[in-house]
Parts: sequence; C-alpha cells; structure tokens
Amino acid sequence: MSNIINRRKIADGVYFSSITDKRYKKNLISVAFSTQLSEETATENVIVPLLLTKCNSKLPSYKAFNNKMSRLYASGIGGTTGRQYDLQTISFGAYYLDDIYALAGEKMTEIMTDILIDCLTSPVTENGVFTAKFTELEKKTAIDNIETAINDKRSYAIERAMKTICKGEPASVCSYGTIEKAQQITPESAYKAYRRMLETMPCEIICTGCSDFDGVAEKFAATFEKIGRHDIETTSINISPIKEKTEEVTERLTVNQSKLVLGFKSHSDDDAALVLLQKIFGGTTSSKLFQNVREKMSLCYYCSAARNDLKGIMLVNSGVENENIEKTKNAVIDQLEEIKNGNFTDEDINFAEMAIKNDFKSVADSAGNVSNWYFDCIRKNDIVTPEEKLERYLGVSKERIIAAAESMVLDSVYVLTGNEN
Amino acid sequence: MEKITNARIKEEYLRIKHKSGATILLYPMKGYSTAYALFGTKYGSVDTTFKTDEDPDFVTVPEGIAHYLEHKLFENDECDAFDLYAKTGANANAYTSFDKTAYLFSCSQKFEENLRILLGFVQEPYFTDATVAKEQGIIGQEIRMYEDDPGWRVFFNCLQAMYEKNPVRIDIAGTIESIAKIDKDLLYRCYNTFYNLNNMVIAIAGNFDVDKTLEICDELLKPSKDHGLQVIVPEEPVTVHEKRNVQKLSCAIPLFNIGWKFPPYEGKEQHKNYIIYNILMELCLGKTSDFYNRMYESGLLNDAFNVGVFCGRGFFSVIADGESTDPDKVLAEIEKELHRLREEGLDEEEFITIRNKTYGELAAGFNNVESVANAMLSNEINGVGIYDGIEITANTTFADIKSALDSLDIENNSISIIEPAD
Repeated sequence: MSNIINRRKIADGVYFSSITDKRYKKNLISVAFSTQLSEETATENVIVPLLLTKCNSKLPSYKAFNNKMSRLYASGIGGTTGRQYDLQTISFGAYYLDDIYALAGEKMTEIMTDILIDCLTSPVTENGVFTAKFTELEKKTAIDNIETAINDKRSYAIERAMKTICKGEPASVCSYGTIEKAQQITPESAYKAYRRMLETMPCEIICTGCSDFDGVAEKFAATFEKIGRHDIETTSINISPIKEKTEEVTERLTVNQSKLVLGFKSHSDDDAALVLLQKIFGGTTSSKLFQNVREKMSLCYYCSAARNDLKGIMLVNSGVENENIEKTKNAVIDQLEEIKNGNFTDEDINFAEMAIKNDFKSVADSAGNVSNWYFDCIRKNDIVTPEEKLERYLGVSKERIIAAAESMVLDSVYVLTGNEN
Repeated sequence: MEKITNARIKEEYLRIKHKSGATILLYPMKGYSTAYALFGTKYGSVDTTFKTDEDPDFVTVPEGIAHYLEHKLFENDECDAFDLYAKTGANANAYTSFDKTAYLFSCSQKFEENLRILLGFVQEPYFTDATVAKEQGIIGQEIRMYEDDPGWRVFFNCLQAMYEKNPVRIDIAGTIESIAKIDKDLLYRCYNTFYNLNNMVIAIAGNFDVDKTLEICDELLKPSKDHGLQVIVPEEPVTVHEKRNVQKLSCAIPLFNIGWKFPPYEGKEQHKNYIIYNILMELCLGKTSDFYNRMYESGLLNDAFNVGVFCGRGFFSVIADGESTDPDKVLAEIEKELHRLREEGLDEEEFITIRNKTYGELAAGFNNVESVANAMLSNEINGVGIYDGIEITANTTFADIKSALDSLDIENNSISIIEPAD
C-alpha cells in the first residue's frame, strides 16, 4: 500500500483524509472526535453517539431510519465510544456498498454522507434539547451496556485491571461510564455534551473505499463552518508511571475459571525492540507464553501479551483454574526472565519478523483496517504506510530485545476469581 | 474443472473434483495482498455415531472428539504445525463447528510454502498417549471459559431444550468428563473415518496462482478410496423437547434464546428455507419491524436483539436472542405478533426493503478474502454453490414469505433463560 493519505485541515481542529482503492466493494466514512478521558464527562459522552445514530430530523423515528438503511442495501450508520490511551474517542461511521452495486443506480456516497451529516448536526430535538423520550431510551441502553460488560469475563477482567495498572491516570477511567452517572443524564446535559463534542473536540475524518471522496470533504467543510468551532480542546497522552512495588488486587465473582492479568511497564524508547519483544514473548503461537504456559504446562487455553504502546504497558492475560493462579503467574514471569537471559534464538527473531510482515502486508485488504491504521498513525503523530513502518522493525538485534525485556517491570497483578467456599 | 460464474455481481471461481477425491474451490481475487486457505472435512460435533465399509459395526464416540482431534492434528512426531507456519509468518488456526472441521491460514507472503504445510499436516496424523493426555488441560480450560460465558450457555441450553436426541444439543468441545474418555485409538478411528479426501474440501480465495496451487495439490494430495461412510442421525421428534430451561450465571440482565424447531432440510432446499425464514423473521421481528420498535420503546428489549436461522446437517431452527428483564413476556409478545401478522397480513413494501438488505449483505461478503473462502467451504459442505444465496434472494417472492409464515408452527418453541446469579 503506497497510497499515503492526503490529510488536510478543513475547519478549526477538523482534518480530512481519504484513500481510494478499487479493490473494495464497500466504502467507509469515519468521523472521530476525541477528548481527555475523565470520570466527570465519560458517561455523558457515551450517550451522545447513541442519540445521534438511530434517527435524525429527516428520518425522525428509529423505524424510519432503519428502513432507510435497509433499503440502501444494508448500509449502516454506527456510533461508539472507546478508550485510546488517555483519550476517549467518540466515533461515527457510515458504511455502504458502492454505487456500482446499487440495484437502482443510487449515488451512494452522496446519500450516505448527507445522512451522516444530518445525524451529526440535525438530531431530533424538542425545546432546543434532545427529546425526553429518546434520552430515556438511550440512558437505558447506556446502562444496559455498562451492566452487560460483565458477560465477557476476559475483557471485563482487563478493564478492571486497568483501574489498578493506570491508577490516577485518565486511562484508568472506564470508557463506557458508570451507572450512577448515567442515571443523572438529562436531555439538557446530554445535549450540552453533544454540543461540546461538535464545537470543541478535535476531529478526524477518514474515508476509505472504492469511491471518490472529494465531494465528501466539501460537504464536511461546509458543515463545520456553519457549526462555529471554538476553543478547540488540547489533549495529551502520557507514559504510565511505574509503581515502586508491584500492586496485587484480587476481586471475586461467581465464575468457574479465574482470570489473571499482569501489567508490565517499560519506559524504554526503543519502540522496534519492544514490538519484537511482545511478539517473541506472547504475540504468536510460536511465542514463549503459548509454547510453554499453554503447550508444555497445559495451564490454560489462552495466554498472550499485548502492548498499549503510548502508555508503555504490556498486558499479559490468561484464564486458569483457581489453584493454578500462582503457578501461571510465576510461569509468565519465568518466560520473561528467559528472554532477559538471552534464551531465545535468531530463528525466534526471524519468526517474529515474519509475523509482523504478514500482519502489515495484510492491512491494505480491508477498508476498515486501513482506516484504523491511519487513525492510530495520526494519534501517534507519525503518518507512515505499513510498508514504511515495517522497515523500522526489521533487523533489530538480539541485544536490543534483551534490553527491552530488562526494561520491563511487573507493575500490577490483577486476579478475578470465584467466590470463597 | 468447472468455472462457476455469476452475472449479477460479475464474479467467478473454479470448482475441481480432484483425482484424489477432494473437492477444490479456487477464487482468485485481483488486487488483494492476502490469500486465505481452508482445508475442511465434513465432520463436526454432530457426527458421533458412524461406520465405514471397513467397520463391522457402528461406533458411538465421546462428545467433543471432533474438536479434540482438531487440536491434536496440529502436532506431528517432530514439531507442530505452528512451528512450521512460524517460518512463513502466516496466521494459522482451525475451528470445529456442528457439522465441519476446518484448518486454515491467511498470509500475504510465501503462499505456496504455507499451502504445503496445510496439506501436509492435515494428512499426517500423529497421536501418542502422552500428547493426547497433555491436551486435556488445555481443552479443559477452553470448556471452563465457555461455562462462564452467558451468551454461549443460553444458546446451548436452548438447543438442549429444543432437541431431545440430535447431537446438536451437545457442546462442541464436549465436557470435562467426556473428553477424559478420549484416547489415541479413538482419535485414529475418527481420523481414518472422516479425513478421507472424498469427505474433504479445499477452499482458497485472494492472492494466489491457480496453476501452481493445482500443481501442489497434485503432488501432495494422497488419493483416497471412497469407503462408504455412514453417519447415523438419531430420529428426532418434530416438537420441542422441553419448553423452558433456566440457569443462573454472573450477568446483570437476563439473557434469553427462543428457538423454533423445524424438521431438517438438505442442500438447496435448506439454503432456500434459510433465506426465506431469515427474511420472514427480520420482517416480523427485526430492527425495522413495528414489533421491535414497540418493544424497544417499552423497555422490554434493548439493542442486543437478533433473530435468524440456525441450521446444518440434520437440524434447522429459528432462534431469537436478546436481553430482557422479562424474557417470558418477550416470548408471549412474539407469539402474539406472529399470530397478528398471519391474520392481518405482511407489508409487501417492507418485504422488498428486507430483501434489498439481505442482497446487500450477501454482495458485501464478496468484498473480503476471508468471508469468500469460508462461504465456499460451508456452502460446498451443505451441497450448494457460493452464488446460490444471491440468486435465491433475488428470486424470493412475497408469496414465498407469506407461505412461510402460514406454515410456521408458532407455539413449537423453547425458551432458554440465563438469570443473574445471586
């Protein structure tokens, strides 16, 4: 993929980029606002995309809106909030089949851009704020989403672990909010949060697909000009401080299998060596964790490592029997020690490089992956193609990987286990 | 070699009945960097009682053995397949479903090397007592993980309520107790029965060279003699086994699955009914329906509501799943709505909307290397082609949908509920 995005400013704090690639049949227009994560505002930001993506003033009921999407060949408008490092992102997306597949010759890009803009700028309101009916419905949705997070025990454990790992930092705030805060939301407070997003949060728009997106940039530029953007928020992402002593937290829930999350931290700035370390340690099926903790010791079904790079965190997570928690924790630590002691081969490095190559070369095959790739590049202020980034990760020496492993400190251990007795 | 084309979406692929016995499906996609390859067998968790011409009698094997075999096939006497794939950087995996097992890789480099690895290890089983025993811990934790997953449990509890004898009611991975009965001899017996190339399919999509692929297949596929495989599907009553199943687990809002049981269909008949009942249920209960919007506004249903067909070899049902503080009320409302629609009639304009949506979803599937390869494999195993769905959808009439609603046995359903643990 050589088509680096043509990123340009179209309004105060609003940037537009696009990539056209004829291999896709679908198009994706993504609009992402971001703000510093905080307990105070996280929950009310959560309700904003829920209120904006199910209807708008021209399609004023959920039924009319869903019908329109279905008639447009299963097109969709979606909205969600998420955590990226210390930031909360409020993202909106329009995805749709290209014009050439439209049975009745509809101009899909034009139609979907207009609907997305209507959603963002022309919601259903009464007395200048969101309607009481829709606010109550989406408050319930937000609360349901918070409550059902517990259903996926693996991601629930990681979310809970982040509270300890990033204690005191914005990244410790749960990006889907709290029930208490959700219950306090009113049509007025939700509308205020919505206007704050539209008027002051930094915004990135990325279009990917087979369509020509020039008309889209113009439409968004005109839209944001009318909004009157002001006092654009500045956001920051900081590396997570390392605790002096490893903090251990155990929480209990009615579960059969215990979940173990280990938060390692490093302040090394050798990004390439840290990437290779993560792959060799727990990023592939040939990694130390998979081969030893799973295959040799039969302790678990999954045990893997993932990086939260801008925060300087490497998370290891696994699901184990209660009596094997300590044994698994020690096995994970031992495997990191193995790398620190240089007990890995040039072949292991080569395997890690091959895995990275395979991942990076695959990015271009999906419009969604391309979009995510560049959102991440923009966040890191380092806009490069996957091929360019790959160059940085090849040829990292064994010594640098050992040094990266030595820079890792076990900051926190989180355990979710069954109730006593 | 057969070239299969579709004028509607202007695409084509190749279907080859290989001399080894295997069926090969090749779908080159221009402009893509990745290739996605699957080597699958028509063998899943429902195939528990079987024999071949070489066996004197039928054998019934422990629950979860197809999945166990999938785990163990990755190992040979020197290393495991993951070690081989590590050298190429490919992403490799495997899965077992109710009616098939598939081994797969996706890669953006060294395709031919990866294909050699795939065709190699799937045809070379190597099981010892020690390696079989070692897997008990790993699969045991996989089973334990699903025991805590309310979305998984509510689904299997629904299948257990609907089906009395069909093995579809059994968890794909089996239980801690059933997998303890698995040994290397049983694994070899299952392997030799179901991993005969006459029972297997190779499906490849994306960036690869057709001629070189066929050369590798000619070289590596070991000719198999069709050995007259017979699988017994137990006779299953048409009516549901139990009306209601309730379990408690860690969750905040009760989860439910409501399943309507149908007699099973085969091949194109199954595919046609799959599409017709998906359109019908979406029309009656889906996100664009009056019913769903009324339920959403009353707070009885939330965003997490879906309805669709669940079918495979020997089973066919429609399942509605969601979250609600009162699942029994949801069921009562659904039954009431289906009766009302049957009496008052469906809306033809809304039918066309849903048909367009179904068509759009199917057409978009051809956008993605992975979904093309997976669709080729599962359609072949079900006895249909990859474009049949698009054609059936385009030709589905309002009369087909009305007739499907008329023949639906509205009360022949089971409800499964997961309630929050105290």
